[in-house]
Amino acid sequence: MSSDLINIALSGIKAAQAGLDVTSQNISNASTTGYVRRTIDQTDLTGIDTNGAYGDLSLSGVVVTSINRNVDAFQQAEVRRTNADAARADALVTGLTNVNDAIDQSGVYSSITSFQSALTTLASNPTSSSQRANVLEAAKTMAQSFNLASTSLASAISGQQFDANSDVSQINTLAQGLAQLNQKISADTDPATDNATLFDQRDQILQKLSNYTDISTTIAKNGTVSVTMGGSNGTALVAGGTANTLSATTASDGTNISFALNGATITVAGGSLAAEQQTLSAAATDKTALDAVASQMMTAVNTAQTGGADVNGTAGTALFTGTGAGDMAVALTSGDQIVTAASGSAASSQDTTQLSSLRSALSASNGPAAAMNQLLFTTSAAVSGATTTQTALDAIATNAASQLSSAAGVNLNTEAANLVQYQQAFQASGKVIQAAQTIFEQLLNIS
Amino acid sequence: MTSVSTAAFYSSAIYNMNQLQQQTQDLQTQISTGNKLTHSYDDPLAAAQMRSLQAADSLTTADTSVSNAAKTSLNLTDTALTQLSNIVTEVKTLATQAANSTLTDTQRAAIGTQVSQYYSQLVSLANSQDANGKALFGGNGSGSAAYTTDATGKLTYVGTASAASVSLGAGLSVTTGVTGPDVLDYSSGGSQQNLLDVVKTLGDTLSASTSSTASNTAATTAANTALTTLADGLNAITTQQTVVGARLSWIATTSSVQTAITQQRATSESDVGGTDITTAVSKLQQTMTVLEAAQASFTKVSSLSLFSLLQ
Repeated sequence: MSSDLINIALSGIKAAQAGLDVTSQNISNASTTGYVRRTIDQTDLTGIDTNGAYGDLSLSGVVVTSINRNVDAFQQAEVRRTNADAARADALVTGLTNVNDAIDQSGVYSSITSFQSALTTLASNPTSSSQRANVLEAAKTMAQSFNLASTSLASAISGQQFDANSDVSQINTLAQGLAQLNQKISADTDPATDNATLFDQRDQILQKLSNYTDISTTIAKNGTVSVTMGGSNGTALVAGGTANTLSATTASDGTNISFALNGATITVAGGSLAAEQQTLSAAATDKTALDAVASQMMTAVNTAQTGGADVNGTAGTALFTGTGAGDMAVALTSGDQIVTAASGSAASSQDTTQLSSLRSALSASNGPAAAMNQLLFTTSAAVSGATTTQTALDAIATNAASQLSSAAGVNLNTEAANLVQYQQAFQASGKVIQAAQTIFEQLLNIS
Repeated sequence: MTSVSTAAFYSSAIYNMNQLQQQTQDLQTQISTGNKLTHSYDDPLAAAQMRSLQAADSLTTADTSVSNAAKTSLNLTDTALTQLSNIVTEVKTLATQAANSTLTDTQRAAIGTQVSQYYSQLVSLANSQDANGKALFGGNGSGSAAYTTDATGKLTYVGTASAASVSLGAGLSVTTGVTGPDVLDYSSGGSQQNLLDVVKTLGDTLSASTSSTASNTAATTAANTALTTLADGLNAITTQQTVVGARLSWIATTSSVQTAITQQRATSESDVGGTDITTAVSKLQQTMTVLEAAQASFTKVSSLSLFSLLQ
């Protein structure tokens, strides 16, 4: 009987020890990313004593049946889904802001205004060589601003491509890690071992993946996970111990990117990868629009130039060369070559027919200045809209993460209470052993 | 499970305080720059309006310089016209003297010489240049002189038929001068006259005076005829001075219109893109109060740990 008592107390000590271990593990990992709080499940051990009389109880103490990872798979999936949305919104705001800044900060609009001002001033004295030089300089500044906008936009585009390619390689690295982890998890068939650490790692990789793209996951009974990309009917990224390779293809003009998983084209709807694809598409539209504004400007100026006479009375030639914002350049070398007068006018003519028609073409409601203003409005409105979406999606993601964290995260106050509880249980079981010893000694002393 | 994990408590506290910090910084920037919009995407519509308004500002500045140049040109014209009329008045006085039949031919010839001198002054006035070195009375022409003199001394107008017109902005324009023919060609007694020709003929006739009776009569008649045509010529000059004066006052009117529009635009700019200091400062105060409270409560709440109570 006393040996039973010792055994029972010993099982209590073991259980309390396990509780203390788990608690201290929780405390140590209170701020570890991806760590899921562990708790122990314990159950009492009783059975019929087969040697004794029928109905006698054999009390055998307590046993730790399992160590729990306090996590809800559905909540985790929600966190990943909302995180992918928030990551997409974040990256989209960043990408679109870069695109907007590339065009806005190059000063194209103000350079157009300066050019118009220079033309207006020239009208008061069309033969003045200093005013003509001023117009030519304003034209050069404008061409350079367009060049700068084009270069900055190209650099924003290549930045997005770089990010997308880097995301793709991150996804591939994570997928390989996940496949290896799956192998480890399925190889570990001993039910007594604690796979919690492996599961933590698995969930952490899945969480990281959700930063880059939207994924669908299926967790098997043994804890291995299979991941598909491109919606629920998509292609497998990780299946068991193997990972497929994600690849990105950039269009020749660099403004469109598509993704293929194991050779099959997939649609990416979430994560930074989706944002980069969306930004590239927006940047392509903006690039076309910028080139259109530049082309409209060049056409308007060159039409006025070639349709009139310059200060020497000779027929004008095109002021700008180029086809778009990138290659826009001033072809004239002297302010004298700027056309202000109608075709056939004599040298040093004060006529401003061509100049007037150019000025009205530039300031028309569908002219290049208005088109540029519209383009800037479009790019900044895109950022503004994406920012609103970002705020909403961030709030949703934060909410989901905090719900998961309430269940899965470590609360130090709870652990402190648990620590006291298990410590007392340990001490109490120790007291039981002491009691057993006293009883045994008393029995020995009878004789 | 409603408890919040420790890590989540810290991260959400940090996130919230960062948000508040960001808000105070944004407000501070708005107040210190006076601009509500730091980036165009802060308010795309307002930013687009601001761009249009600022472009209009810059174009108005250019219009103002055009209008100033037009004013200078018209003032120069006015001065030249005044001088012209002064000289014509002088010539008229001389013609009145020459019409007196008691004068000797020598005296008349002397008057003729004076008239010829006035003639050359008139020619150089007619050929005067504006601030840019082009003919003031040459209309929209390109030359530096409005009239050329051929070998026989005959004057030919080489300017254009009408004077240059410049835009003053807002769809308004003004003609910046008058042409030579506007001033010097006029109708007198049913026939077309040119003031310069009239003065030249008078000078030539008087200078050529001899002691013969025929010459004497011819000179007196010429002087008498010239009196009428000179009076009409003077009228033509005065008429053009009135025109120039009207144009100058038109420029003044458009300038004040532009100024009013510019002021209105400045008001719009400040409404659309300017910081409402009162609102911004009180918002800043509010945000700072919340931030301070958040920081203070964070310090208190984060020190609440069961561990610190366990001895």
